[in-house]
Amino acid sequence: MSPALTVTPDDPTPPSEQLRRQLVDLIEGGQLVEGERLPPLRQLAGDLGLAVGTVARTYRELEAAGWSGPDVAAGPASRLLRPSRLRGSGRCG
Amino acid sequence: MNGHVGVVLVLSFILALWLVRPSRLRLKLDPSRQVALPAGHRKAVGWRWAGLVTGVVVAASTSAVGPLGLGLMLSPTVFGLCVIGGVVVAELTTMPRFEGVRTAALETRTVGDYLPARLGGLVTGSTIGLGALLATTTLMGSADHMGLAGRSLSRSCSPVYSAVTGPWPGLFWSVPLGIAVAVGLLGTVLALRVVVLRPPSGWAPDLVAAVDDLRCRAAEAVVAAAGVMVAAPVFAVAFLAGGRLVGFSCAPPSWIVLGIRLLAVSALMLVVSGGCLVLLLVGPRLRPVESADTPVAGQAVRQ
Repeated sequence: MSPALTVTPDDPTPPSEQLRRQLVDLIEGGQLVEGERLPPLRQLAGDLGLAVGTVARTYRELEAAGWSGPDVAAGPASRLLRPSRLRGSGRCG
Repeated sequence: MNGHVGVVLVLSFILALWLVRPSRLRLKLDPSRQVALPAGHRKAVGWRWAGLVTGVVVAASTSAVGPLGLGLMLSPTVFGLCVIGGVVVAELTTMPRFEGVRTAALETRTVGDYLPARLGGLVTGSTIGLGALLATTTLMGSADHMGLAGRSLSRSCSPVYSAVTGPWPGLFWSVPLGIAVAVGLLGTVLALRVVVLRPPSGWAPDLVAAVDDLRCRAAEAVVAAAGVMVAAPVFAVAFLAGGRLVGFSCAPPSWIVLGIRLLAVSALMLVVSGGCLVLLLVGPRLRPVESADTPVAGQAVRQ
């Protein structure tokens, strides 16, 4: 089961910071492991009803802190937590 | 003639069954949630049907316009684009509204995850085949008596006699057809992106799985529409070219062999077009069934 991210609009903490904290917690807690791929910007932004720029800011901060890097194979918009890339799961049987 | 239509219909149904296993799509949902999602699905199906009916009407109108059968050649693309438009509208009108706390699964969704494997392979193969076929007929064609490029097939049978036949699917048709199919395939890719990026309206695993099933069905409809857009022109071009080659008055043996192969390809593509149409018309239905181990609605890991 995939871990989840939650954004609370009433929280005075900016949504990008809420996301960053949760992602760091998931990494430190071992729920996100090396090589795991983060969702594409547009997908995560759409799923949470946020602007793409908000999620991009979170990803930039994770990258600046050394938690993630660009996924060269999947293009500049994709990021993963370490070099190896997770493959698509094939959801339609 | 009626016998041939019957055979094509039966083969189309068999192909459609092979392409998609009907038992695959079941909405496994907690009973408390079996209202909103199926209702959204019914709405989406309504839009898809609207696209389909619009496609039939617009394609019929298109086939009647344009010089020398050009409209008829482009009508499958127009039909497919209307169907895809219906799917996109369905996706956009059933988007969830964001209220209060928002939760999303930390997962990566790609178009490849939702592509129907057999159908996708068949459409990809048909697209490559269409490209090769149009390149071949374009190279073989020559100008007709009206000076229209590539609308006839000619060959010097002897030093004093040249045979000419037509219409031939050369440059006059291949360029607009190639552009139309390219536009249609671009629309297919964009529609698949809309399907994949649509928010899942919740995070609970059974809901995510049910929305995944709906995405699969939507992606299948988009790819089936692309199948019609590609396979129908292959059928038309291969049938026309094959018939001309086989019936050419002084055809060399290589032309006869090519013509027979093209006629076989055209028969296959007629069945593929029919199979894609069957999938669009009577694709697997989503029947909500109770899930044995569904978690609490709206459950989230973090707050």
